[in-house]
Amino acid sequence: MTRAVVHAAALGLVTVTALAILAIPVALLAYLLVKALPALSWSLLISYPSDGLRGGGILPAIYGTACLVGLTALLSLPPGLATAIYLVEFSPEGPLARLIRAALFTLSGIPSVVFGLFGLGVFVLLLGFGSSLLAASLTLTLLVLPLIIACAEAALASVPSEWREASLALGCTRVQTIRHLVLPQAAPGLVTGTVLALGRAAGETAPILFTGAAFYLTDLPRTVNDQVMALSYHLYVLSTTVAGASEPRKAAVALCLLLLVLALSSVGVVLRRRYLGERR
Amino acid sequence: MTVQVDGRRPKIRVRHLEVFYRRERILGSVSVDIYPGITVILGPSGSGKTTFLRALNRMHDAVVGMFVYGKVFLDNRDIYAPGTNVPEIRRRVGLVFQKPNPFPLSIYDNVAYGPRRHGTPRRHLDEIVRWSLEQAGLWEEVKNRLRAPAHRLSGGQQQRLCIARALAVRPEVLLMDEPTSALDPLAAARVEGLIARLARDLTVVVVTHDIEQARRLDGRALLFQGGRLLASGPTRRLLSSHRDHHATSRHDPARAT
Amino acid sequence: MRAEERALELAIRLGAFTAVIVLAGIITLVLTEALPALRRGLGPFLDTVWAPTSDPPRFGLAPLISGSWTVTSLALVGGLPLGVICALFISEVAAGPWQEASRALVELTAAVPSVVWGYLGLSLIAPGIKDLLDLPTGLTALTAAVVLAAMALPTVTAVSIDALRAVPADLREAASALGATRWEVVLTVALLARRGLLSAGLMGTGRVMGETMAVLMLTGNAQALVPAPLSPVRTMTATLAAEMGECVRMSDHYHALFLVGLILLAITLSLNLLAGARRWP
Repeated sequence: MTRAVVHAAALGLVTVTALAILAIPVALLAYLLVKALPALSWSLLISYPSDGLRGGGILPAIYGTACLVGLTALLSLPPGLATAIYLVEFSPEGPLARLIRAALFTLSGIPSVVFGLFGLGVFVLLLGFGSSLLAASLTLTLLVLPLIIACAEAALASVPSEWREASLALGCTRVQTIRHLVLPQAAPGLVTGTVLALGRAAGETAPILFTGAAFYLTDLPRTVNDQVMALSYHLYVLSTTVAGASEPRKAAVALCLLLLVLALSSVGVVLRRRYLGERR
Repeated sequence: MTVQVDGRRPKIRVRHLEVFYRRERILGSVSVDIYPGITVILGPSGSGKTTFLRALNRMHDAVVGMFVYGKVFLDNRDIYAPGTNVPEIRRRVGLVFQKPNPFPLSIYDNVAYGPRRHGTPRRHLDEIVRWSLEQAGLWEEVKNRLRAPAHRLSGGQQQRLCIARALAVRPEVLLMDEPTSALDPLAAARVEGLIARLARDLTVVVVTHDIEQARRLDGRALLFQGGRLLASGPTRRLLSSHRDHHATSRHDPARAT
Repeated sequence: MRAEERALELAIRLGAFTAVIVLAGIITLVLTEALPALRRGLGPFLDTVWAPTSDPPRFGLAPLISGSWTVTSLALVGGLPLGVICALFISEVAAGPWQEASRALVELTAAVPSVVWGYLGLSLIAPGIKDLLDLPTGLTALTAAVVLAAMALPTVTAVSIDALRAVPADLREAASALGATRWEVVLTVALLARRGLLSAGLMGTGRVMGETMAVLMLTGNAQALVPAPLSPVRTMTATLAAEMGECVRMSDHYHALFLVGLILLAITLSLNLLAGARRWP
């Protein structure tokens, strides 16, 4: 009897602890909302900053993040897709596939600031792109590559092999089969992976710190060679460098960034459940 | 292009065909001729029937660890010779699978899939789709809903759609891997009738578990057991001389009689 | 047609090697930029102070490494057990919509950017710790560790859930059938999944060690050779983030920073390899 009571209590403790932990993110979101409320307005989103970043809006940061995220999507899809196609359609078990998988696993464990070092060394200095939208997006591309490939792989693998066989049996080549049958069927899963990767890219700061993020711009970037402001870097700047930035303003920037990232991620998470046949 | 059916000259000549999976030999040395008309492949499960069938249009190429040795002559050209255009071989030698596997597309697009990949002009597609569906005996049932998704069809209709899809690229040989075993008896009977009709113009090779079906289809038969070709010849003669073999062969629940 | 096919196939084969090339590139770059720092031997790096802009500059790595370890180990003390508890709850206790909702919540928590965590730490945790413990500053190793524990949680939880799921379901039923209480079943499953849980811990460690922005914002960035939890520290990642933007290219300072990057890379890679090796025995 006592054993049953003690064990039930232990189980209860695990449940209560877990629920308390799971409540933390919800509580933090509520905290941010309340704190940011005084600073939230349309003009914050659509006007330029003023008064040494202390006033005005954050349009350049929002626009910059959108540019970074968009360009990263564009840059990461071709190599991501190629790798996934190779791993699923060409050689799932070959020694080269194993090498690629090992490299991906290793890459996914490398700290984001090291990607920043690589971006600085290769894109900014070696290739001479300078601190720019292009260099920053390329750096983010490398960072999200493992994620985007994992999703694309799952998307391709979810296409039944009977369809591939049927297509091959009709005298279609492997490339035709991939292009006209597998890719269209895998498209929702591929979109899912891209959305998830974008959520990750939108929130990153360390990789763009020395590859393209600007402290303060009075104008929007016009080409990929310009520096950009970004929401994430802007939040860092406001929190640590700009003396006298108001608390609601910081909270508002944090909220914008968080909502953007959460929107992308939750869309991704929902889509993943739906299209990538995630096992339960 | 019309297909000439010459009953006396073999369409396919198989010589010393061996198939290995990794290091295991799953099909022994097979040498046999396949003539236009119907050839039925019989044998218990695991006897190498399907392995043999898929070797005839190089479907094993796509499977890692499968190795094929020997020669398969299609009209006197070895399809395993170096430099062979494999997709072209597969276009000429079609394959219908055991389980109906239509693409997740409309009925029309399923049939048009092959011709489109082979560069058939758009203006000919309607005609090809109609011809193929008619050949497969499906036209009357689907002519008013060609844009409907293929998966809405019944199992038997799906299998006939797959046959139409295979016919649309104008194959000379049609390989069929137990095409009726996943169907209910009525649908199976329809497909069986269709096979007999197709064999008038094509070389048809059908794998089956079902001796009665083999008897009804008539033609010639190949008998496989334990990864080896046991016997070949006209179906009726083969079946009467190998009665004992069939009496002892494993009962197969998938058999549709 | 054939030529186009070949070109596409070649593009796919080449594109597939992006990850391998990038990994090789990262290691090569960090190595080549770090090695010049060693041409005068290890001597300068054994100093006890990191002061690259003083005259003469001092490049002692010990305070940075010790700073990283302090923050990481403090964070793990909290993050690991809590992460495993969360995983046990989600995988073994919760069911139906509760399980779904908590999993989704964990996934979304993992998506919160580190700079947002940093801001929350500055605005909530730092003042709290300063007032509660009556310290001169709220920016301490402990502050960063609290936030990092929260950040490590989703990783630890997710990998632990995978480990727990790898335990066959019939073992749970067998344990119940033998008269084990539900708690005993949970403990048994956890014990059977211990290898996977360990790898969750290793991966969590790697994540925390490589974390940059939150640490940069919360540790106070004052170096200490023997750091105490309640004093400011300076980590390797924060040093890189703070100084790489300003240092003179190809200077001693630049190369020394890459040496820091190399050490960081070596530590995180070995942690991951260890975790990977355990995940696929």
